Amino acid sequence: ASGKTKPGSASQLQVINFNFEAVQITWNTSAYAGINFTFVYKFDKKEEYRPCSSYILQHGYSAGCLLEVQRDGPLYFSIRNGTQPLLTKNLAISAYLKPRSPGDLSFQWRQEAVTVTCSNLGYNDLQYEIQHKTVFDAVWQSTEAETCNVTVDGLDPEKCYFFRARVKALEFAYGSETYPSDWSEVTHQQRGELRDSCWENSLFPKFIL
Amino acid sequence: YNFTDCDFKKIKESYRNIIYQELNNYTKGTRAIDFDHFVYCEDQADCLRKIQRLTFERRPGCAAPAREAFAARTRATLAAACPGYRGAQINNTQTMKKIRKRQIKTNECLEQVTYLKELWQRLSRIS
Repeated sequence: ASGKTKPGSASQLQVINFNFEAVQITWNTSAYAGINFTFVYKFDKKEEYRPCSSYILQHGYSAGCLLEVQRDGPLYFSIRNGTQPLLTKNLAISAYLKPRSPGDLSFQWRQEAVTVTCSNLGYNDLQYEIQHKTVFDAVWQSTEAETCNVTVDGLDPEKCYFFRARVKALEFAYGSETYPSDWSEVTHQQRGELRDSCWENSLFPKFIL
Repeated sequence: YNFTDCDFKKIKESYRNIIYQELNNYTKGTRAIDFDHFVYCEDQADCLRKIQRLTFERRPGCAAPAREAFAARTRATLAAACPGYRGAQINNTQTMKKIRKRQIKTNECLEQVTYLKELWQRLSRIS
């Protein structure tokens, strides 16, 4: 019953669910040079299939489809060569979630700790990761929490720190085939204030002659 | 049994702390994309109805995962969180004896338990 052995089987497919806003499905075309596959899909078993309205092309041939989605739910689709189905499948788009990168980071300093908060993505079972380092650190250090209210302690407020954030879907609720979000932009903080950069202050502190 | 009055927070906690790992141990390495279908559930009660069916009912090619460790945990979780739930009655001593003698894991069983995982994942996301 599994689609493992058929040509164009699951292993030649990639699915990415961009924050439950759009789903990108791409297929490996190298084994089928010169064929323009069509992609049809629906979100409800009882619906009629509808054609892809936004193909992804590779060397001029269809290699994927980008479709808009509204919610966490099922996706039914078929990849066809003319009327001949190459692969017909249904899946849970949540299993391929790539959350949006965290936005509106805000910093609340208290002595040697900072609490980083960011805007909620509107769905559950996520892991928020905040990384920080100074110019002298080669490696980022991570702190994680299940809400976007992460406290990082053991900091020296006098130092200038780089911060960045990302979101991951928790495996027990989404499975093991999700993608972490992209990192947020790096933010610089010193003495409880936003800085443009950490390089000048740390490497070339102002000397009073 | 109508699952609407269950304590879904308690069920989610039990799933997350115990059942999830048991399901993972059973399906080790199998991926959702390996199968052409999946089972979807709309709301919490619908999810539990389908979880009960896939866990305790025999299906072609898969005798019944009811004897597996995750099934015993599922039964205990539902009995603790759903008022009046007695579920599919399997003689407990028989179940414990059978859990030690693991079933041959047919591909149909792997597929069925993969769908079960997806139902539990969905229930977790909406609870």
